[in-house]
Amino acid sequence: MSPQLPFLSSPLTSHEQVIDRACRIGRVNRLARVVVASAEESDVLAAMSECREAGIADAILVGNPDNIRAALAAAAISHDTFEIVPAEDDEQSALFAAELAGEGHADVVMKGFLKTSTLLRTLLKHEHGLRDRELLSHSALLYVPRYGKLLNVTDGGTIPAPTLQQKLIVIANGVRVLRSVGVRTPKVAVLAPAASVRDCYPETLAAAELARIAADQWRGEIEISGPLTLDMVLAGPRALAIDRSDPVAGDADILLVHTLEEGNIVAKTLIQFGGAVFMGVIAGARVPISLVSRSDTMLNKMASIALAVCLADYQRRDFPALPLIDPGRAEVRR
Amino acid sequence: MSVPRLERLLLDAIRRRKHRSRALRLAVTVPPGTPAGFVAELLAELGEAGASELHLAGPERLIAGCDPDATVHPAGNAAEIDAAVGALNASGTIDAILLLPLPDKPDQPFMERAPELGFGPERLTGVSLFAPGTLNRPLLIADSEISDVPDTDRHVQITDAAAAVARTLAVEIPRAAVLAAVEVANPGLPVTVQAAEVAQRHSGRDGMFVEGPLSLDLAINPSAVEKKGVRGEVPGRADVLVAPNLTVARAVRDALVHGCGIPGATAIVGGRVPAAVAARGETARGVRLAALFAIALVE
Repeated sequence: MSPQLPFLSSPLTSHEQVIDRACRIGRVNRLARVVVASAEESDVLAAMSECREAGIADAILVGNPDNIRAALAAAAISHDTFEIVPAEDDEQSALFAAELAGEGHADVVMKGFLKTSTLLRTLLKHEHGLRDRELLSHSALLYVPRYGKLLNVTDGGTIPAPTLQQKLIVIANGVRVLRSVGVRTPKVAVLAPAASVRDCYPETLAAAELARIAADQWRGEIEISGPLTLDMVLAGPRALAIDRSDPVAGDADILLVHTLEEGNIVAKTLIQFGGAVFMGVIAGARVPISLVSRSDTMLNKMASIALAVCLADYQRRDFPALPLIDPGRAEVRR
Repeated sequence: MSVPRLERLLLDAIRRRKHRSRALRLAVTVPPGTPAGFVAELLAELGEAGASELHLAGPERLIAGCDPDATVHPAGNAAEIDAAVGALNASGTIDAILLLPLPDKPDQPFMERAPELGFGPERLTGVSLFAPGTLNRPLLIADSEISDVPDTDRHVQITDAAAAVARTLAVEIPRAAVLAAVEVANPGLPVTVQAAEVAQRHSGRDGMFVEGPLSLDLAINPSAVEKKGVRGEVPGRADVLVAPNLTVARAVRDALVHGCGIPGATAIVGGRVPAAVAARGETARGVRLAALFAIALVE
């Protein structure tokens, strides 16, 4: 079914706008369907129930029916609220979720009470037709009140220490997430311990190389700058009394981190101390994959599901994807 | 709101120190390009910071006549300024150093300046201090200045150095969380394994608790700890966050300051004297906090 709701003409700038956009997609197109693999998890069910009430998405629950009903009861949700698809174990739950998504019966896949690796391994099997990019990556889209716009911290969830090639795919996946919320030409900041190349910090060399290749190959699609430090990214050079002109510093949409720990810890700092609202999604497959943590607030869980709905809507439209770069064929300048 | 919290914390720490009764000598590097108005404003702030003897090193036109009581050490460029302060440090003439940002070299690592400033082969550690309104205690982050990717031995030193700073700030038994992305040691995530080793190396030691790997939310947020059912002396109560590497330590510091609006102060400890590192773009009032931090750490 082709989407009837016109695509965004201007960027969304807050989690509230993301939730509102997901509700509009549900009203004008159709209510998105989220298939929950191993749905015997009362926190996830509570989030899905809230999303259903809010008009963000409906759910199909896959797993052991008795255990799912027990989890529904624990979350004070009526047992007939959602469709239940029986599955014998986690492997089968993941398989059925992949099949439902692959056949177009679900728009988003959500992780329930199973290992992330089990779910992702099954989803990426070729027979389900869900494989798109060669690499999945996690985006933590944050609304940071002091920053005043959405910031995609990536990848703080799936790839421990990405290579140059992997970072390029992480950027491409991150751009897709940003475009799904209306940011047409995202500004990408490559994080490093210093904002200039210094031999004592190898991360700065890697950041400069990555920024150069991406800027050359994706001209007009993104703006990218690196290495940049986080104070430069969040405050901009003028606030730091630094005499440097940089279109990304102070206005970044994507914060590309060097390691998983950097992304994870930076995002959590902004959430725990800065009142940031977190919207997490795994991008790179033909359907978005939603993971919510038990320790997430209900608002974060709902906003995460809303973001996945926006991304699913974006991916249904025939927008051209960012072409992938082979860094081996790009000119390497040292 | 938070500025008074951090300031109060530091002033309390200074009041408790033994050096209260004697002259306290602070050297300040004033690099070329520092606005003259800022220097005057800073000196007015430092007058209330408790340094009874001030040494200013920098271009004569910037420092001469600013403060009639200060000793001036004219020096034309950044290297000469560092050498002047280094000589004071080596001769034991000063108790603490305040490093102002270098306008023309905003990214120069401290380690490149350390020999000139009189810091020898000691194991130095960069510690950033915050007093977030959501916590009823100081929060320290290490190492933001020295070791790019510390090995386990170095991580143990960093942890000990940050805990020692916490004790100076009246944290009787510091609780240090060795940070990672998750709370379970997993060979697929080497940072978690190293965090577990650092914690193991501290097990059974009196006077501090060190646990890891811990994610940041589990380190400081009691409700996250309760929801995830994690147990220990540190989860939800950490005073010290030991970052897996320098990039993370700096990013956490910068996120707190620029993303969360929480003022902080950074100092390098482990040398002959503590050296406060003023953040770039910081106001004179903010630089005063860095100076107070260094003064609070004077032995």
